[in-house]
Amino acid sequence: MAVALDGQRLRAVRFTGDSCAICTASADVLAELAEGRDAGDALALGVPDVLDVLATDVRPTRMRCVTLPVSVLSSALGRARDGAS
Amino acid sequence: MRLDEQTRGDFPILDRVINGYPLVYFDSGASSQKPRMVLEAMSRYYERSHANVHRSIHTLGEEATELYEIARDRVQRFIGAPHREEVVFTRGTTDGLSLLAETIRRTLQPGDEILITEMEHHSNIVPWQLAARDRGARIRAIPVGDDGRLMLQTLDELLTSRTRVVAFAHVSNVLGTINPVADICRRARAVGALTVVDGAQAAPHLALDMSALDCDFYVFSAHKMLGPTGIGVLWGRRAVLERLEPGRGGSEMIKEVWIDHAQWNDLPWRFEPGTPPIAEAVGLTAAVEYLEKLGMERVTEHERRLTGQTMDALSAIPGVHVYGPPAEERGAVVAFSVKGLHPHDVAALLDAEGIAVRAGHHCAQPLARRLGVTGTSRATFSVFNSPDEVALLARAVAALHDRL
Repeated sequence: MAVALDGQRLRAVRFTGDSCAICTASADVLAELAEGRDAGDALALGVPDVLDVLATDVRPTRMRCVTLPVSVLSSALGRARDGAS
Repeated sequence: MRLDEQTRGDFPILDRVINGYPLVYFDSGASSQKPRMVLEAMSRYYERSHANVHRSIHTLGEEATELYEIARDRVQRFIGAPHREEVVFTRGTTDGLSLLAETIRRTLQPGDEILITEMEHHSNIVPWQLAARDRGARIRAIPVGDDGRLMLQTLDELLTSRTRVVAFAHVSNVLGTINPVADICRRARAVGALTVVDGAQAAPHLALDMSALDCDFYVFSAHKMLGPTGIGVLWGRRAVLERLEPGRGGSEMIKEVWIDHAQWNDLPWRFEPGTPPIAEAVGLTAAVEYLEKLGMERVTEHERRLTGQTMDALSAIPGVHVYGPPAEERGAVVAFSVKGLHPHDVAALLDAEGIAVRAGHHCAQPLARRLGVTGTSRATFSVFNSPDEVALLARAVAALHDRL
């Protein structure tokens, strides 16, 4: 995942990956939800926000497919704010 | 009568309906289903004979001990082991390999080498890494060729005077490749290395004969061969087992104990501290007897036919790639990929039609890296699987892209 910040505002979120449909969907939804927000707001986005949009039944064994992009975004944002971008 | 026609009625779980479809279970390589005889033997044991083994001087204690030791005799016969005391019960293959790595670790010197292969399950990699790390030893690996076979031409260079252990799978849990155990062991012995064979994917499918395989250790799990979870077998050549110091202590593995030292028990109990999995041993006896009654040659033949049918059917589907050597040279394993679909999605879509396959790296990440994939989907077979089920799998895989 790559993020572009305008000051504190999250201008763009992009991702590449070799992942399953659920993980890809989660990353896609998360990127859309995060774009345009303040970095702090984007960091507060969690699995429930993604599940709300996905509106499908994700089984417990596949829940980490949803979780992965959430933790990747948060680490990408952390690095961007530290100036590493 | 075909083997599946003969055996299906023995497996209660096959009556399950999954997502509206009859269960098609193609994940025996991860853990097989259990025939009624195994379940009944374990219930009967708990209902009639349970007590601790080897130290209770009462009727139930004697019955439990006898049943537990009968399991050892059955396993000895099943794997063609020369001596019963060479059969050590463990918790499973991972436990057996760890026990060996922990035990052999103490004999390693800095600079010593442990030779594994690129197609190993993590259970036959990580315990050796732990052992090597502690002793300054080094791990090397026999590479896998594009044909899914070990590149044994590298063995002369890889086996050196520093090689202490050669640890490898009898049958790959991804490629299905049957490795030439006797040949590798003979060459390993020539440099003085111990040989450890991971038989997890072989014991359920092939007739075994320890004398012919000629390894020092052979390890497998009951739960992949129609038996219960929680018990496995470590077979060790008697002369080698006798030289090894036990790595785990407790009751049962000693003859006499003082405050500051102890005298070890005889084989095999020296390596079985604590109360063993007794009911599981009873279940394993039933599983072994079940397989023996079917005949392992028939089991191999049946599963090989299913493997070949699966490979042919899947290879014929555009965008589907099947990994590993031809059916006649492999165990009951077919790993495949579907272009444009992640293995997890393949497994989830097949599950929606009641078909259980495994997906992912199959605990063999170095091999996945070698194959250039993050994972594969994998169908594995047992005695109860039928050609009709393989046809269902092939039809479902062919229709995967239409369903997206």
